[in-house]
Amino acid sequence: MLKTLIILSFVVLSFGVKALELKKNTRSIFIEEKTGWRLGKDLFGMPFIYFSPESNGQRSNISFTDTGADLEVDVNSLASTQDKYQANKKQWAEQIGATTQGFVPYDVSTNKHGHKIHSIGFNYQHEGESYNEKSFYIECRGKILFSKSLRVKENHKHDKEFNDLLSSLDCGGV
Amino acid sequence: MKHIISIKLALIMLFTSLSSWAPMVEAATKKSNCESGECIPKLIDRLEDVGALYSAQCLPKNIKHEDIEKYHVKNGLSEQCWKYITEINHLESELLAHQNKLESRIGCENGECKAPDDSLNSQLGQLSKVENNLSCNETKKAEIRNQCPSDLTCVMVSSAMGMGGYLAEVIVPAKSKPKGCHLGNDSCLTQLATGFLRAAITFFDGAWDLLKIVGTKAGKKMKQFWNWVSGAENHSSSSQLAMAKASKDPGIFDQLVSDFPGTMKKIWSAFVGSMKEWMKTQVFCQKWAGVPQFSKCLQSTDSFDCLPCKTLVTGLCSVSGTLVAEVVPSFLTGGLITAVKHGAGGAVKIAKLFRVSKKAMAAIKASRVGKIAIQASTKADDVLKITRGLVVAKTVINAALTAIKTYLLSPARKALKVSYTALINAAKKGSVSIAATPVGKVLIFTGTALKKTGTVILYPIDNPLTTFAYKSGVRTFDNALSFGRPTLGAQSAVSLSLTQRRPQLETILAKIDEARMAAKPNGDAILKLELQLLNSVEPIRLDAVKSVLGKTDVEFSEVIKKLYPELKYDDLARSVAPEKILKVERELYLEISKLPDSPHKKALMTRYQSHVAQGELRAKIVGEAKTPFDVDAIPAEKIAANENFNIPLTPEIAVKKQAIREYMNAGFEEMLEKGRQVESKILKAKEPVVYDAIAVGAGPNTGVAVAAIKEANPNLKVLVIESTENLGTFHRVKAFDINSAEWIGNSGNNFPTSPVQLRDFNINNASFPTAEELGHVTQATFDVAQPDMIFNNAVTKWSKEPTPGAWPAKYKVETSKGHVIYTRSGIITPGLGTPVNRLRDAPSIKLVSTYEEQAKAISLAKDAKYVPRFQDVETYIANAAKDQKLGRQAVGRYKGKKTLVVGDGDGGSIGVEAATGLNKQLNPNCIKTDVEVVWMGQPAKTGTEFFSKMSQGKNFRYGRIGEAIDDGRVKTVNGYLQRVEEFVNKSGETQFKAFYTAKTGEAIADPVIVDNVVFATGYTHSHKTVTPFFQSMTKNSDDISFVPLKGSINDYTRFEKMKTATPHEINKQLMVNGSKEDVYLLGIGSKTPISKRKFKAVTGGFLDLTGPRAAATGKHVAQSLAPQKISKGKMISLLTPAKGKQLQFIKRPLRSAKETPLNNVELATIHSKLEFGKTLKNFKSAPNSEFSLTITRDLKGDYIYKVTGLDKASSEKLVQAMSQNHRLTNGLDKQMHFKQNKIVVTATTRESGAIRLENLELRTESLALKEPIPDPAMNISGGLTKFMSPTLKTAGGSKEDRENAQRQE
Repeated sequence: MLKTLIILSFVVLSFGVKALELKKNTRSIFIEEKTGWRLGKDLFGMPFIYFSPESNGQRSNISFTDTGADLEVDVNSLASTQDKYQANKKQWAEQIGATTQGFVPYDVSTNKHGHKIHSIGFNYQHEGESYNEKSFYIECRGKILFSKSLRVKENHKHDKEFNDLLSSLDCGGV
Repeated sequence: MKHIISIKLALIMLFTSLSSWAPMVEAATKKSNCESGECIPKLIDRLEDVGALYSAQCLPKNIKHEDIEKYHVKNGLSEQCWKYITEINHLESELLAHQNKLESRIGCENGECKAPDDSLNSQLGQLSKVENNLSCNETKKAEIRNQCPSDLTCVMVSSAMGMGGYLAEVIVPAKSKPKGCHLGNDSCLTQLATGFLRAAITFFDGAWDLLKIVGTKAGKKMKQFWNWVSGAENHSSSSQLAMAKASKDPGIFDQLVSDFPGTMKKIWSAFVGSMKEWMKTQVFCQKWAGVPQFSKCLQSTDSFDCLPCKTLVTGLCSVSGTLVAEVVPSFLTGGLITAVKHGAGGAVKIAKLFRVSKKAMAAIKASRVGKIAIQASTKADDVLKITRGLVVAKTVINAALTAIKTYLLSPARKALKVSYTALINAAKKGSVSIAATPVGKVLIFTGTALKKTGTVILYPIDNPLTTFAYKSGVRTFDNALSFGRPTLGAQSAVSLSLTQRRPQLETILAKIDEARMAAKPNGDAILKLELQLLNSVEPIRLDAVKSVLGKTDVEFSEVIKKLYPELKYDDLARSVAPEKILKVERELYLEISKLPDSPHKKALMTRYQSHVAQGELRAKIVGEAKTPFDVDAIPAEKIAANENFNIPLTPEIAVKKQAIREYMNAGFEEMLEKGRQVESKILKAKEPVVYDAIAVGAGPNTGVAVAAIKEANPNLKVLVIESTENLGTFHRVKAFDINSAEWIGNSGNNFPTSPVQLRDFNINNASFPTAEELGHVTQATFDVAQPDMIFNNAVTKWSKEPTPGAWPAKYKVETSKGHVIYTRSGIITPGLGTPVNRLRDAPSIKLVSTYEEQAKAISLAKDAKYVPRFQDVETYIANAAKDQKLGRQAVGRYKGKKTLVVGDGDGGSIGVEAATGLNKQLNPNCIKTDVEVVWMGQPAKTGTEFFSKMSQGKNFRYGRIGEAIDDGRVKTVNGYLQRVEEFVNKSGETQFKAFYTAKTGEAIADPVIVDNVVFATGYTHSHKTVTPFFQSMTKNSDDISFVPLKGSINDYTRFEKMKTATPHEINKQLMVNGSKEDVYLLGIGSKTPISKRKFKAVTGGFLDLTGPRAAATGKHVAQSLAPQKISKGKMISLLTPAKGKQLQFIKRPLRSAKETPLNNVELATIHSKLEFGKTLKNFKSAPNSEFSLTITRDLKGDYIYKVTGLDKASSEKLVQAMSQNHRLTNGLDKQMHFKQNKIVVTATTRESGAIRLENLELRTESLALKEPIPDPAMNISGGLTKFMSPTLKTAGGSKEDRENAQRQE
């Protein structure tokens, strides 16, 4: 396994993009390192949060968590029950005094390392600012990797960064 | 400290409740009260005014003090001046009394004397200490603020250490935990902090644990993915949003990213601080500007500021889970920057961001912390209120005392005092006289001043009598000192009523007043005098109170003080037996009740009720005894009605009575006509005429029984056979009141189970019902029940003879007119039956028997020989009016004649009333008849003796007889009648010799000779009258007997005493040859245990007792006639012929086609009512209430009960009872098809709160037309909901619900 990781790192580096290792306990994942971004660790129990540079008054962020859950996700089921996700989000928004503005429907894609990414999103307004939040459940070597991106509406440019990060995400194998 | 405060407060509260603090506080604001000296300024004003008048009019200008006495001796004192000076003296006494009281209340302020513990100063001192401890002042707030950080750090550290591992490492300082922080792992304090830390630091990590477990087990089959990740989703959303917001401030963002645990420690205290602020201004806001939680809080609960942080956190222990789940996210997402920047100082701002669900809000409100803060706040408020009240009271008292001192030391007052002393001295030195002078009357002190004398009474001016005279309003010499006889000239109405009857009472009254006015009243002396007064007043007070209550100027307080001193409930009352107190309470109540309606009566009654109302004082004397005006007591109007018994019939009432009579007569004629038609049908019938029940005798008890049968099942055919053309003994008797010892409407003759009540006919509304009215009720009862009835038919034979074609009848009944009718069951109500009296000789028995045959009972109206000339009330009224107009006495032609009444029961009493003209109906104008009555069997020799043997109820009823015994109109003979001989006297008139024995059995030689005889000897309750009916059922009449019929009359009586938990004897059931027949014996002939005396049955008047039993029997009959399901086995056994015999089939014609079988709904109604009866037997709710129960069935098949009209507890009880009776609901469903219908049950409750089953109504309503079948999810009262999964109850479900669901999955 270590061998594979080294090879992959080498491949990434050889393309001129610097990889950032997110290591928790004995497991690591690699994402593309972004210039000006800052990595926070163990904030609110989340192992890694990657913060963009300040833009429009705030930093966008994306978290990465290895859930350790060993399962395969049933695509059909995720699609058909996404109303549960939406209901839960509405409830949460209400709890913190936010207003739900819309949802990004469930989707599934595969990144360049062959990891299947299930995504779903939700837009809300809190204290006068609109936020776009998107959750990603990444199938990583039989385990589920969780990632969530958050930005204010105005920072749509960070979507590309988020996509890059997710696309570059590699945990080895498929 | 808190403990000490609580104890102190409790003591203060206790002391407050026991002492007069509360009234004192109120007194400070009430002008009419002088507890705190409010009346003093007015009193001093008056004193100064009168003093000024006295000085100006009664003393020379500039007179020296030492000359005043001389001046008075020389000039005496004019009437006006006497008035002034006595008034001044009186007012000053009052003032000084107030001064003493106020001084004792204020206590010692300067430490010159020892202040009593209950003085205002002492109380204020204690309260200020308590207030200081309780109130949330700035100093205390500052202390708490300073203490909070260390408390919270301690909590945080303990929590972190409890959690151990990474958290402990990052939170707990490297050195060690803080000193003095000794929290155990299980401390409640740590829970909130743990929750907070977990939410902030470690929760997210664990949020995936469930997913891991489920994922392993479920694999691809996992369907609830979004549910499993909801916790992690929420947490990450909150956290990332918090961080996004924190990034607005580079410094804070940096701080968080660099040292997250350290920053969290800092925001922890901000969190607790904002919690406190939030609870103070949002959760426990006492007054909102608009909609709660959404508008501004106008009045927050400031006591939260003084709540130590440890206490706050501890108090939130029970809701820490809720707080962490709901408050922390809004705290983190909204207040992170403020919290990091300002710590606890940002609490106000952060608190505004908190949002929680209603459920969480309710949980927080119910938590201990809320209670602690509110309690502290309330206690502080209470103490503050008391303190403020006392301060006000103290100020008022001080002002009053200052005013008093100023007045007492004033020069003007000194002159008056000197003058008064001079007058007293003058009075003491010489005799006091009144002289009539040209300038008016003058009080003189020596003969030297007397120029022209009048009649003089020697009397010292300051004696108690004159003082009392002044108090009583006497303002002149003449009234105060009546010449030669010292009586009170202007007494109050009450005093006058007493002294007119007993002049010596004046002295006692004066002495009592003097004793009460003394500077130091002597309680023992006053008690002694009051006892003396009571003993003297008692014999005359009823008379006195009657004379005085009607006067509009009578003072209620005077009535109590002088006529009923024991009703002050003080020491005097303690020396009187409680029963006696209750008796006089009632006596006074009755007298007030008797007054004609007027504002005066209303005022008196109000005063009475407030005086006698249940209170501590009264309770000490009579315990919890009810007052005369309590709900269960006899209503005043009824008592008044009884008292007004002798009110003459007014023309209006006579007209109404006539109208009712005509209506009822017409109705009865119809009834007779219908009876003839029934009889005709029976005669013409070609097939056997079969009834479900035949009732013999058409009296009131039969009416009730038949009504009960018809109510239970209107389709049952019932025939009533009556031997006369009357409906019972009293039906056609118009001239008598019903023989009842009870009050109308209260008990006797209320005829409780009849569909029609006596009061429906008693238009006088102030009298006992008449026999005629009872007759009307009986008739109306039959009208309601609508049985077939035939008259002038006596039952001659009752046999058990199965007749072909008469199936399913069991009995054959033959009447005196030869009718043959068949029946399934029988009700026999023989009424009074054959008279059996104490006569022993044949001629007497014959005489009585003849009489009884003619008239039954005591009705003299049927025999002209014994009866006055009138035949009915109208004639009597007309004649009486004529007699009165001509100055003649009613029934004057019987004057001087004698009537013998035999029997001392109620019947005898009626006979006596009738003969003596004391009966209202016979003699509405109460004119004396001068008919002499000999009352045999009555032991009382005097009216008093007569009364003493009677119950109070009977006193009302027969009170006038006692008077008649005393005035000789009634002579009593205490013996037994032996025989009666008829003879013609020397004047050629027919008379009777009535021989009798003493009750000891000793024969009395001389008979009583009388002109008329009234027998009121009562009747046995043997079954001789009915036994012959049944003799054909057996060869040996000994085989006929009547055995107790067990049943319950609970549903038919409102007398608790008659109710029993288990069925008991209600009537008799016929038994022939050892087997019970479907024949029942009702009424007084049924040996119903009414009278304690052996061989005595009562003559009417006790329908309250027999009626419920008759109704219960009717119900029993109806039930026994209800269609019975026969088992297959039973059917086979019935159809299997005996060995050696063949089964014979008898061709029986079908019953009349007109008889339609009961439809499903009717059957269901009957069965359901029975089941309801069983189910709700022990159900109780509010008395006399109405309610309805709707039963439906939802799509899932569950029964849904909805109750309206009952309180929540009763509704739940009802629904529970109903839910448990599957037999009932299943039965209902089968019969009534719930899917299409709903069933509405309406019912009322009795006085006892039990359901009035006889009024229970059941109906169906089509659901299709009215409303849709209810959705099970909406049902709240029963049915499916309780079995539903919690997640199905609400859309989305709570977190807890989801977790439960997760576990289930």
